[in-house]
Amino acid sequence: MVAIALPITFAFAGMASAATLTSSDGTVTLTTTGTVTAGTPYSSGQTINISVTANTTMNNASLAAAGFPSGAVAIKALECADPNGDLADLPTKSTECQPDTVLSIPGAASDGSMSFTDYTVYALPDTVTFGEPSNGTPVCGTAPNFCVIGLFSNQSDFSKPHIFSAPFQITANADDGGENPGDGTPEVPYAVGLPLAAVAIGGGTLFLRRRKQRAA
Amino acid sequence: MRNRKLRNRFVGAASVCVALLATTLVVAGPASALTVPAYPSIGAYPRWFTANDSVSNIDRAAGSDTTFYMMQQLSDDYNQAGLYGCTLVGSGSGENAFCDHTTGGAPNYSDTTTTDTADNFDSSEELMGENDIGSGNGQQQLCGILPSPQKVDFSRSSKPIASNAGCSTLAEAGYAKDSVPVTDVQDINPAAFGAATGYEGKTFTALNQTFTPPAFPSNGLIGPVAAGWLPGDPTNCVAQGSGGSGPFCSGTPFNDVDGGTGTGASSVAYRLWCATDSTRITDWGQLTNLSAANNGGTAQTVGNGKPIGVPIRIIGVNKGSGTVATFNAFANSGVTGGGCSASPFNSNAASGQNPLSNDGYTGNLEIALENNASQIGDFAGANWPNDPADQAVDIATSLYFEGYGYYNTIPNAGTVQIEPGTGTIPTGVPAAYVVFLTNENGIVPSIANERSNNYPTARTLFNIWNTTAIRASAAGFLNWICDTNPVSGGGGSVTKGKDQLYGGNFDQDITNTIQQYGFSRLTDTSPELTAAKITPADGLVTPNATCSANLSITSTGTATVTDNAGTVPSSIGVGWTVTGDAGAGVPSGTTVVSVSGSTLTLSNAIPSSVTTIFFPGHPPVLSVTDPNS
Repeated sequence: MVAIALPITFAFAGMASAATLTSSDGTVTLTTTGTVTAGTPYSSGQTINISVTANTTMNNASLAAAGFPSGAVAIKALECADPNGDLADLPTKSTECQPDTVLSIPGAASDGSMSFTDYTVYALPDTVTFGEPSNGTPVCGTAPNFCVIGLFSNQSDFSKPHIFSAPFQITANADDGGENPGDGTPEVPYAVGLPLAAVAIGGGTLFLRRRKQRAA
Repeated sequence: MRNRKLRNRFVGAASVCVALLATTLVVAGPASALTVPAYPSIGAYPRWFTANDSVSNIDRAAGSDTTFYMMQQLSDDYNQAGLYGCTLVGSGSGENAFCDHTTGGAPNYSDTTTTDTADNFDSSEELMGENDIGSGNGQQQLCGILPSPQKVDFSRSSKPIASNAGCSTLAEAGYAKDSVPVTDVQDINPAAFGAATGYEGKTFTALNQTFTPPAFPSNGLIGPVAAGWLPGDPTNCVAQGSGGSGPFCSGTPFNDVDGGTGTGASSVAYRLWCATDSTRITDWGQLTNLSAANNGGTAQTVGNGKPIGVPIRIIGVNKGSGTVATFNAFANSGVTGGGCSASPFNSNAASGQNPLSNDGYTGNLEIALENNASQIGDFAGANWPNDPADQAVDIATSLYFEGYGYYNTIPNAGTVQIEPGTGTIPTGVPAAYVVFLTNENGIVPSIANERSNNYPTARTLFNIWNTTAIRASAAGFLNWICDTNPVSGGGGSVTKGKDQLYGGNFDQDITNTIQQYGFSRLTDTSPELTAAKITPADGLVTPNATCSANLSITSTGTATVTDNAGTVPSSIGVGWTVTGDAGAGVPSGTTVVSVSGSTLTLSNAIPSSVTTIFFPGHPPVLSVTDPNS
């Protein structure tokens, strides 16, 4: 298991294009645009694309059952806080999302799939673009203050259908210019990463040597 | 008032209980000390509590529909704070009419531990009027040139002070941002409802039109024209680039509208909404049928495509609305005396079954209230009762505009419904559709683009007062909205109190209320944009910093400036920070050194080009004309 997990979580900084983060249920995928540095957080002001596969939460039947006529309702994407980046801490009320980050589309497809292009992410609270005070809420940026994108049929009413992206991290900058864009994941500190790499390489070498000895 | 007395008795009884609890809980930890706050300053900036201690003064606003609901809620918050206002005179002369500023002694008099001295201490009562709704109407009522059955203390406005307001003594405080995107409907398939017999085979021409368009398809079946459906396409096609699964419409989806002061009479916005001559765009093919193959070998730009026989339906909107004023400024495209340059606007507003005949404002029964696309369905239902197929064509061919905030927060404001009556909607065909927000001049509608004024119809939402008739109670309320809590290294001037009902702080309540309606808050700490950005492409001045105190000044390039209005308000204090428009050259760290008559002395020289200075962290109403009410 460790051998499989290491390459996924063990992202050293490096240039990449179209890096993705997918929610644990496989429904929501965040995709970077342009070239980004792998293993680093998004940069405030960076744009990403959001795609959603067919799902039963936001499909037409679900939205109609929630009271939207014929299931017709604009879908709104908002950036929210997800402390610790785990499912248990996903937002449960509107004050955990930042309304100024809204971007809307006229609705999901009947099967619940949808896409947003060029969604801009911000480290929150954001003073540069939204004029928030430095002690504003919600707070999302770097660990443990992870962010998620919420996709809502009614962002003021969490009893209505909504889904969340995978958690991501984002760093603030002086102008929300998206400088040094990343893939939304934490950069693994070399102090931690190098010893782990040494263990992995050493283990691999040992494994190969023993196999060679066995074969001989 | 009797309730107030009861409440005070209850508070007294509660205090005893608290004292007992404190006694019994002492082993669990230290109890927080309850103290009676000092009696606040009265007759003074920025809260402007009445100088004579009068209470329950009623302030009435008129004007904007866009800001009506938000201001109602802000009023509720403020009124609610007044529940915890001063203790009233309990008997004799002035009973219940004044704060008890006598009983007991300084600094508290008869107030209690729960008295809120930071918010609505004198329990003003804010009322959002709804007479002759619309920003322009509210400004004119405030100036007294438009009748009002009740006095107007301030006006709500989704546009800046208008040149036709009727007086030159108005001042404005912009406390939120919004914008006005154009809407169309891209996901409706009218053919799915059957043949539109009211349209089929008819030729639609407008007054002064010099081309003869083809007839509406003879079978009465069309697809989503705004998505780029052209005759011959499957009627269930989707817009190219929409991300939807095909088949794709062969035409160009109508996703962007160009206009604004730099574009002139040839802009698409002007030709759709304002032109009444031969340049008017009347057919959906002109917007979407642009390919070289369909235009004699030469690809065309938006507005110049080959007609397809499907008429465009312009939805008229309430002429007194600030939303209309904003959008028509954009659509008028800087054309002097253009068709959208003055009220009642709506020169091409559709009326009845034929959208190109009997159009305009006068006598038109299809003039919608602003910010609610659902009325498109109502009009279609009225034009074609019990006829879903023709209603669907009306909806598919309509162009409207509405506020971004309402669209994002009020589901019904963005949803259009077929009203079948005794007609039948085929099984599986949706009855409701969400309108699509277009870009303007290639700019995507977003709050970031509103706050930067990049979106052409970005607008500031204001409260406006008359400097020659501003009561203390109204001034206090307006300043309360603008002022924000102090924070480390900046912020506003007064820390608001606790919302006793919901438990948060009133400053956060204000932010939440503004955002609840999809707007973005401006405060007395919001910086001004550069001079070039204060006016977006629609040509309307759209400032970001008028929630802070500000003065129109004359500078000679020195550290001494002159207040253009005369005597500098005494509220302005030595040490206040001074800023200007971004990039205007007011040195960082500039402060007020002294005030004398009409002269302000600053700590730094400022360029002679600076005409307005701001005092961040201080709300905008610096003086009142009636300190006692």
